[in-house]
This record gives sequence, structure tokens and C-alpha cells, in this order.
Amino acid sequence: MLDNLLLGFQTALTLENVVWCFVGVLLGTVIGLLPGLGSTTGVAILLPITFALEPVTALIMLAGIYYGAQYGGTITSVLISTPGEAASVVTTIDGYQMAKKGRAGAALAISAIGSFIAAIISLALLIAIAPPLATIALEFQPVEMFAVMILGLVIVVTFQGGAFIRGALMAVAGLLVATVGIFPGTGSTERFTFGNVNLLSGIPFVEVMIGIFALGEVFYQIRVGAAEPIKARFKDMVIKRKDITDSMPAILRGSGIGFAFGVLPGAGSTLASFMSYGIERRVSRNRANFGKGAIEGVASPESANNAAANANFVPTLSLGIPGGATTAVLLGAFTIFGLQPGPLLFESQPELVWGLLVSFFIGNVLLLVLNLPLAPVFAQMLGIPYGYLYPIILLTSLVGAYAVSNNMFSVWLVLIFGVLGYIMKELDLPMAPFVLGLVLGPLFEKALVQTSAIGQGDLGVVFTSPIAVGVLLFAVAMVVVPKLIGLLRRRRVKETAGV
Amino acid sequence: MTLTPRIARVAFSAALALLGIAAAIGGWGYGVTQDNGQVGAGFLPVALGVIMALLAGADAVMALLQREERRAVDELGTLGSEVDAAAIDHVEESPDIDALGRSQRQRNRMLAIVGGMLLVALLLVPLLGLLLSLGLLMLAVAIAVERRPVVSSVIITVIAVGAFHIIFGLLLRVPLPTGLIGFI
Repeated sequence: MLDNLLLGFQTALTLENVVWCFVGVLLGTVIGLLPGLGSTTGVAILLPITFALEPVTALIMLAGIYYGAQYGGTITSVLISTPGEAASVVTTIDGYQMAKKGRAGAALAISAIGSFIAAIISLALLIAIAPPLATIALEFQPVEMFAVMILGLVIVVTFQGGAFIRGALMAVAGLLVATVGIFPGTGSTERFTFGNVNLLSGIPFVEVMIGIFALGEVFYQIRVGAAEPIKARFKDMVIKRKDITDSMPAILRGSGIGFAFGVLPGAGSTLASFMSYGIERRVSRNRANFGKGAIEGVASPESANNAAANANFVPTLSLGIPGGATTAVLLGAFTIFGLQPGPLLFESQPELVWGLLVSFFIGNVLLLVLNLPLAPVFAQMLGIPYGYLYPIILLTSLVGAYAVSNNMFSVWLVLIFGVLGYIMKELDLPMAPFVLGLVLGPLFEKALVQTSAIGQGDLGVVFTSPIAVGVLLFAVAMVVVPKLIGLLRRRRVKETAGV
Repeated sequence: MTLTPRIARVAFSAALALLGIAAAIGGWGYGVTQDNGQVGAGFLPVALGVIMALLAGADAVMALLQREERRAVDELGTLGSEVDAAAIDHVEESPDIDALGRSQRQRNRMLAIVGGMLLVALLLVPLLGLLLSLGLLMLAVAIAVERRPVVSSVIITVIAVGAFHIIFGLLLRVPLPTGLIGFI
């Protein structure tokens, strides 16, 4: 472990990597706070720019955008009650109330401090858990991987916070889109390509992401209309020692909850922040002030979303299954650089994996240094009219899409999926299950084909593996248990009302 | 007939159901199993197509019946209303008018115009090249749709196109299509 960490520091602390890490976290902060841009969009549209970099440097920068956006998203949540990132939505409740009371500075400072502490805790856990998990996963046969992928899909559908059917529908749609191209079982049968050679290797993933998240969001924002331009009411950056001590339990609980949810494939940091806030509101000594500007109401979800963002890398790196939408795009980045995330990566690319993990420490230190004194400066960017911003997003998205495969087909694909992304947003259809379905599709089918081969056509072979059965039972429990709890709760409410 | 969100949802779900059926039929043609009894090229498309058709059909029926959606995670539901309440200060007097005084109808028209311009810009790529076409799109959107000042729009466009030419064309050596005029 120590040797690996040393290797990681040697890799991450080169001047080039530190500079690109800084560029990543800086861009991430800006992307996180700008309306209509999020970490997924940011990573997707900036991915082509990293092609000239070494893989480890490129991934350090892209990961920096991801966790930098978690910090940036908070600034808009607190100052204008408009979250830049979905994971910062719940921060608006108490963060904005604090801002209205002239305590925006304290809210942003505790958010930066809480995020930093959560990041350090979750990174320590990530470093402790991911390698052993990868070692265990090395023993996984296609049967077990097949079961783990089903679990990932079930989790992302279950935790959508919307209707189960629509989440499942989107996951299946993603899997179906992933069947386009040559069938891996024979290596020759073309499916749904309609004679187009560009589709032989499947629908390219990065272009779909750019279309759905960047173009789709631009179309949606145009229809929704411009928000009131708000000047940052930022008077005081000083945070009292009491604020920090009061928030510490919330930060620690948020870090734990965030990590626990983030480590589940498909759960994501948004859910972690909601859960953390909900629990904190019940257990905090200051719970009476929740919703009225309680500093714990900012510290808890912000710690949780940052811890979850880091924990998302556990399934991504050790199993090759993305933890959320942004890590799904990062997974795509790995494959573009010729790397296959999964258990073998720790053995085959230790320099890259440990360099990346250590860069998270460096990135979070940079973010703390950037965000404590510079939050007011970042807040000024809220004044940029969207009318200037979205034409630039269009240009970046389309040129970036072309650069992925030097092909106009990619650009047209971005447009098509942009329209689809817009429709999904308009109809409030969850995107994460679609993305996860699309990413997992080829891996899922490969595992399916291999499982079928092992069972000589009998897929029931899955039930001969105790690990696979355990994973599938866990997947069933993820669907059934919340429904049972809800049923029991409603029954109890009815009984109480009846009494 | 006005396209209400409910009708749109039903129409989209119906389209997905049809797509699922088409995928299942297409998948059947590829062969559900191979000669040795193992999973064939059509197995997943058939299975997923059928499941998608069923789920989309169920969603369409639910939309038609306008059944209340129940959140899978109760916490999200209750907190969602609080988030909305926190943002109450930013709700406009008339929700139809945005901060720049544009009505929903105007914004819908803007979306259609931007979509149309985007399509035209992509069709012009073989003639003007990628950067020039998209640069013109950027300029047209800023000036004609967003009513931004001409000078600042031109400056921002030139800087953006120049930066992309340097990053992608010169540094990354991406062979950006220059079109018939062969400029950049």
C-alpha cells in the first residue's frame, strides 16, 4: 500500500500533472457554477481537448473537473438558490436562507471546508477499499460480472427518485441502443447498422453524452428562459470557529453517508446529498433551525456529495462499472485512451491508478485554497448572460464531437441525441439509467454471451454461483425492501389516523 | 390541438413502445440462439425490445390515467418541495415571462430558430468548413436570436473560433473539414 501511494505521489506531483490538475479543478469550479453546465457535460465536451495529453494527465484533469464541479455547484445554490449541479440542489434549502441573513460567506466557507474533509475521508476509504475489491473482483467469472451489472442497473433505476417504470424504461432503452453494431458472440453479425460502417463498432458513447448533456441542456435552457441576473451578495468571508465546531458532526456523518451511497454502482452523489440532509435533519442538535439557515444543513449535504463523488470511483476503477453519469463519461475516456477500467487495471497500470487517486488529494487541497478566498470572484461569473454562453457551448460540443473520431457522422449524432436529451428533460425522464444502460450494454452482453457459453446455452448457470446468487438477491432486495418499508409506513400512518 | 405534457409523454412512450417492438422483430431476424444453443445476436434485442415495449406501454397507460407518481425515495419528495420553497424568491410575477421579458411563445420560437440555424450550419459544413459554419451559427444566434450587441458578439465569435482553430487545428492537429472554400 505504502509503495503504491509513493508511486502515486511520484506520478501526480510532476509539474505537468499538478498544472493540469489545477486547470481541471479550476474549470470544474467554473463549470459547476455556470447554469446549464454540469460535471457530466463539462467532462464530455472537454474530453477531446485532452487527446494530446498522456492518459494519466488527461484523466487527472478530467477527474479534477468532476470534483471541482461539486464545489462550484454550491456557489450558485447558496447565492441565488439555483444549483449549478444536481448534487447541490438540497444545499439551496439552508444555504440560501443563510445568504439571505448575510451569512453567504460562512455557508460557502463551511461548504468548502466540509467538502475538503469529506474528500480526504472518502479518499482514504477509497484507497483502502478499491484495491482489495479489485483483488476480489479478479476472481469474478463472467457469471458474477453478469450479476454485478444487473445490480448496477437495478440500483440506478431504484434510486432515481422518480417512477420506477420510467427509470427502468430508460435503462432498457440505453441497453437497447448499445446493441447496435457487431454482435460480440460471433464477431460478424451486424445489428441495426443499416449498412452504415460508422455504426459497426456501435453507437459512440462520448458523442451520445455530448448530445444528451450539452446540446439537450442548451435546448432546454432556451425554452425555459433566462433567469434573473443576480449580483452576489457577498459581504463577509469570515467563518467563526463555532460554526466549524458546530458543523463537524454533520460533516463527519455526511462523509460517511456520502461514501456509503457513492460506492454503490449507479447511486450517485445527488441521492447521497438528499439522504444526508434528511438524516441530519432528524439527528442534529440544531434540527429546529433546519430550513431556516442552519449551517449543518449546508455542511451535511456538501460533505456527502463530495464523499460520494470520490466513492463513485470505487466501482468504476475496481469493477469497471460506473458509479454515476460523470464516472460513466470518465469510463468512456479510459477506453478512448486504450485502458479498460476494472480489476486488472490495478495490476496492469499501477502508476496511472495510484497517480489518479493521489491527484484527488492534491486537487482537493487546490480546491480548498481556491474556494476559500476566491469564491466571491467565481460568483461574479454568474453575471455572464446565457445568451453569450450557449453559443459557445454549441461550438465546443460540435467541434469536440468531430474531434473524437474526425468524422461528421459524430456531429450529426450529437445533434440527434441532443434532441433526444431535450425531450428527456422536457418529459422529466431520468438520464442516468439511460447512460448507465448505454455504458454497461456491451459489457453486459459480453458477460451474457460468456455465461451462456459456460452453461452451454443454459443461463441458469448463474444460480450455481453463490456470489452471483448473493448479488442478485441483493438486487431484488433493493427493489423490494423500499417498497415494503413504504407500504408499512403508509399502513402505520393510516392506523394512526384511524386511532 | 395543444401539445400538453401529458400528451407528449404518451406520444413519446408510444414511440418507444413501437421502437421496442421493431427492435424485437429485427432481433428475431438475427437469431435468438446460435446453432449450438447459446445466446444469439438477436437474444438481447428481442428481450430488451419486448421489455421496452411493455414498460413504455405501461408508462403510456399511467400517463393517460394521470396516476400520481410516487417517489421511490420518500425523502426526495418532501425535500423537493422545500427546495422549491427556498427558490420562491426567484419566481417571476408571471411564470410565462423570463428575466429578459420574453414570453413562453417567444422562447419556443427561439428554440425552433436555433434548431433550424444549427441544421443549416451543419448542412453548410461541406461548403464553408466546420469552424466557419459554426462560427457563423454562433454569431447569428448571438445577434439575431439573443439580440446581443453586434460588436461584442463579433469579438466573442472571432476569439472563440480562433481559440478552437489553435486548440483543435494547430495543437491537436485534428483535420477539421475546411469545406470547398478551404479557409479554416
